[in-house]
Amino acid sequence: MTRAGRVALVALPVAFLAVFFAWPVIAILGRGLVPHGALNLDPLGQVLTDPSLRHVFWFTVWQALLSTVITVVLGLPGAFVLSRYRFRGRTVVRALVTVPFVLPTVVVGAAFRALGVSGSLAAILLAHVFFNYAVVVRTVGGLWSHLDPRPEEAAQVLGANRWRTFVGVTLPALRPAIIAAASIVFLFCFTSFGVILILGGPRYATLETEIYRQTAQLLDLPVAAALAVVQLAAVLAALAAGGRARGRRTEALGLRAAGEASVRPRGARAHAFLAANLGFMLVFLGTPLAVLVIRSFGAGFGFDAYRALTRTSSGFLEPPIRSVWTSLRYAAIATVIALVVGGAAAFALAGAHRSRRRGRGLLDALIMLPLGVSAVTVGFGFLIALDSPPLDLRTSPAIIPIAHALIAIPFVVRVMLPVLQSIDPRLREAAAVLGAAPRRVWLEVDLRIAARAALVAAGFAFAISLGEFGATLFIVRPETTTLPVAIYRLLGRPGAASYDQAMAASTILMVLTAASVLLIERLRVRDVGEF
Amino acid sequence: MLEIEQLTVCYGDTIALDRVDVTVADHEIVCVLGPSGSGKSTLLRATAGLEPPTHGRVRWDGDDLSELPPHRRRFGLMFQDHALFPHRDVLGNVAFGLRMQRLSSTAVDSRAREALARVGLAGFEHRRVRELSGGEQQRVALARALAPEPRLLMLDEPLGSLDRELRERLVGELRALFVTLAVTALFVTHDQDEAFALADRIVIMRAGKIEQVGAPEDVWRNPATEFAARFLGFANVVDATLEPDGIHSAWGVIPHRGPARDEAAVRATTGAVRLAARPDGVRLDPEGPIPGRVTAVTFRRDHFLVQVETELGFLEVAATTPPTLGAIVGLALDPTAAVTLYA
Amino acid sequence: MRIRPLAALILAALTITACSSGSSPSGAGRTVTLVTHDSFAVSKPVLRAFTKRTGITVKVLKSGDAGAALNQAILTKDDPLGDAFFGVDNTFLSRALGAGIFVPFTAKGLSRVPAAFRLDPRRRLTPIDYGDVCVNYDKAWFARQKLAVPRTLDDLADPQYKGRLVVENPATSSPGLAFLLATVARYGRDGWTDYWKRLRANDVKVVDGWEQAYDTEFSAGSGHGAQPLVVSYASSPPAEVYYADPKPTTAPTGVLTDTCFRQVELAGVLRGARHPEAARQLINFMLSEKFQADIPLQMFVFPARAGTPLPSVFTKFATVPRRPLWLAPAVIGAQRDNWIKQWTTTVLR
Repeated sequence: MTRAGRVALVALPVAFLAVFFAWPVIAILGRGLVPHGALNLDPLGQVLTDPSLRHVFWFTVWQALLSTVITVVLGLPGAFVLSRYRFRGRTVVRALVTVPFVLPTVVVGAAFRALGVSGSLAAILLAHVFFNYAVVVRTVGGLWSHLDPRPEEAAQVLGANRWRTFVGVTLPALRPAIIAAASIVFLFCFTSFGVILILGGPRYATLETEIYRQTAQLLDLPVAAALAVVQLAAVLAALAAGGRARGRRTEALGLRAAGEASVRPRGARAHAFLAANLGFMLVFLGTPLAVLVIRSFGAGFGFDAYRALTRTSSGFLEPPIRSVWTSLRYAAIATVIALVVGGAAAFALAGAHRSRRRGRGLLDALIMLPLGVSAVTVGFGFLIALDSPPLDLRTSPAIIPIAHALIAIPFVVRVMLPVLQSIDPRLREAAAVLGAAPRRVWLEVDLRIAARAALVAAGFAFAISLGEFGATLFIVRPETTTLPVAIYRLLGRPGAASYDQAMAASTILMVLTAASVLLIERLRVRDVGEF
Repeated sequence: MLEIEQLTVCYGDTIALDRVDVTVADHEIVCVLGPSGSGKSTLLRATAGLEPPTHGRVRWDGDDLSELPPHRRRFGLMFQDHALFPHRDVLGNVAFGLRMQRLSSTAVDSRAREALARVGLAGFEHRRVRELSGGEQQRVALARALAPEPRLLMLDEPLGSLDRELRERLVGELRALFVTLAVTALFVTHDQDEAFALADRIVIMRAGKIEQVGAPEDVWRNPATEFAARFLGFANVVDATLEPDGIHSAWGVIPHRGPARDEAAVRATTGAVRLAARPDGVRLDPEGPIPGRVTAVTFRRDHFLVQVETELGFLEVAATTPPTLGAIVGLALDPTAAVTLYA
Repeated sequence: MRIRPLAALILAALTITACSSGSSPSGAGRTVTLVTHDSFAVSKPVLRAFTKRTGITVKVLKSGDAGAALNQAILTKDDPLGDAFFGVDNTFLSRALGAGIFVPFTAKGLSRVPAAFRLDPRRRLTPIDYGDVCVNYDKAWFARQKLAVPRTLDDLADPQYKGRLVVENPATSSPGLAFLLATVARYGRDGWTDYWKRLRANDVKVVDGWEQAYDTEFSAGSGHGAQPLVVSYASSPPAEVYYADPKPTTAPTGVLTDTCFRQVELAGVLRGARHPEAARQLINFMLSEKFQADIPLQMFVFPARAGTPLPSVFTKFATVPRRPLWLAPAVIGAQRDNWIKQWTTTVLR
């Protein structure tokens, strides 16, 4: 990579995040904490000493930690079977597992409530695991499927049993991916909004719900800003802890082609393990989804609800089914933005890591931060920061894919970075000696090997955009209603028929998600092969 | 012609390469021989431009290459574990260097296939590299390095990871290939059989420095230093003194040895030297000047290698009939097989 | 042919954006931007009629719920997002007026609006529609249980309806807030917390949003929940009929008219609007017969303009309480946050 190229790789994500994230957040925090040109930290003191807000803070932290631990513990076996066992229908299962992650909370909330799970801490935790299971399976599984199985075999030959092998050999190798997944899950649970409101019930509050209330309902910007600062500090601390746990160095792991590391399950134990995990996914992830699908057919088990979606009904300018196209369009744009910006960041981070340049931790944190900052903080920040040309995007529909990309970029980086970091540096040298200029080396080696990871990341980004709801609801125009917003509108109408239509739209969203994830990951190229 | 002058590479405080001078003439095959950690690989990497030298330079036909990045040196390098591109099939690997030369795709294809055929892998074009055996991978790596017709081919332990039989076969093939293609090659190995079989000239390295340079036969017969001698199998090294009448040591007195024309000069000098001999230069002889006790006997196909503990330390002897362990034996030196080490 | 995945994706996205930009209306004519909340709806023919009559294209910008949308408008008052705003209700009126984000304007047809709805004497805000938040009941459930339907707020605290009522959290839900205000209006500033203590003792269920309350907990809702009484709208019974297929002859739900709190929604021209004239024309249009007649079936509220014909589903199934509960907007503005806090302490802690 040439110097100019390196600078560009860093500059692109930094500029994107500065304009669409840092600046708006700073602007809104400034409104709250620097009201008349002078810094006023009283609200911060007020927030820190208020016992009920302290309670909210601790609840936010521990429920997020607990949710993360449970998700990782349950997700690891899932990641294993989906990356290491070869069995019929594996790709489909892998795509289906992604579905819960992208369903709007309103929809999942409805399904959980229909199953009688709501109004308790258990419901919150269950929902967090339900939503984030895919994060662990995909992020960890992505690395796991490339892991050279030989060190594990060596350990077993040396007399380690399966458990010791896992703890002593596999787990350390997977550590970067596990920490990455855990950080993402933690951030999601830490800033959880819909789950807390819909499934926790009114008794539970997190920093996120408080910030929303203070900003969107009470317009108490000083208190909202103080809470946002507390949230930001906690998120930064968590990211720093994650960064430290990830370790200072990542060895080249000697990655293998994905196809090679996976085997058919052999022996009764392997089959039982596979069956147990698939059974878990089926029951735990499948049941709420099945409830949605069954409800979509209504009492008469017909397609009335689906047919109704194709007609213009009150409250909609277009037939609700049109939102499928809108959603797909936004998702495609958001995916491209996320891939370009996140890909650049991943390459920059991998490069900085190799040459141990300073500041990589900073960039790393900056990329993760959008997951840890309240959507309403960013949303309201947009309004006051991006208000003058050429960046008057407040009323532009372009803001929707940009907001989606902001959420998808951390995933792109987290999926691509471990793969990039474990590329054998001699491959680059081999290419250089064979006559490839630095840019060409990058194109031919890094980009090619990362292409597979990029596709996985793209599927993720696409799915995230399809299911995104919170940010979209803020800036929606009737002609740009996305599928989740349409679902929300349908749920807001009384009557069983409307409810069935909402479930039908949710089913369409589910199918769309699974199909697009499958399709994108199937976009195989001969050169990339199985890698 | 490759000229490496005073090449020095430091990693922090450690000196990996210390003022190394090597030349490789056109169509010459030079082998750098040394134990692992002696700086051989660093020498290749620095020559390829992958490692910035702290000092010294690399020239090609008189042109200084210091400012030339690796991709413009037109050198080929075959990496130790081959470093094949996992994301490309066999043909994709071999074609890589040709593609970098911006040849037409038909030319790339035909020349890559030609290179594959040359290493005996015709028909393997679309196999995945991970599916290949070690020997096949080695051939792909060789074909990949050869295909762009580099002006200098460098090989880092080219046969290192292969089993003995395969290695012996490939050595022959490699030699034939190098001669046919008239390549200029610089390769490194720790395996002397490989080195002597392939090289026109041998460079022995130790801890980043060159110990000895010479034709294989010369180096084989006359190691210049104790390190070189031991590395080349002169297991029996004893103290000796040069006297006008010959070389005095525990072996007794033997005639002066050395390059014939220098014999007079050698005869004129006196002082402490070392006398080295391979196991087959020593025999079991009850009358021999050095007594000892047999501590180990190893079967070596056409002879037995006998380890004998003596006052001078452990010595090694080749014997046709094995003595019993613990037996007290005498050792005698074949004066024509001994080498005098002046350094 | 070899396809590179990234290139393919970029190509796909470019194609899609190209298609979409081609189909969006070009900015040939004048446009007016209406900033509103996510419940705003209007039918396409009505919107077209406005464009046809005035040559102005309406760009609708929905930004969150009623509170969030208004707060965004306040936050951007130096550089407004649009020209007109719809969706200030009486619970937020004083905040909107206090922030000074609207300029006075007398809409054509304002004289046709009953005086009770004209909440701003300085005419910065024009009433567009009104509705009532009331307790709804499940007719079938009460018939099955052979239990008398409660009538008043007091009845709801009666032990025979223990565990039968679900309400929304006023901190997070607009009907929830309206119902809280109803109890303040009924029991006074000193008595309402006692009433809620009684409700709490009577096992009132609290959820965060209307969707949960109605769709999941309400026994007549699609979730077939356990509570036959829910805080919803006076227009919910006609909506139940309207959205059902086939249409029933009677509404499955009814309204307790003594529990209703009135909400009036208003619109105004934003200060600093880029197209103030177009904004005025839009608000005139919103008070016109055509738009007013479109309101009931789009937003399920009642048109503010007197004499606007109502669709049959409203005339047959809707109940308009004769004396809804009411609090002056200024009082609400001064006390709202305080009351919510007190309510939280009383009901949740």
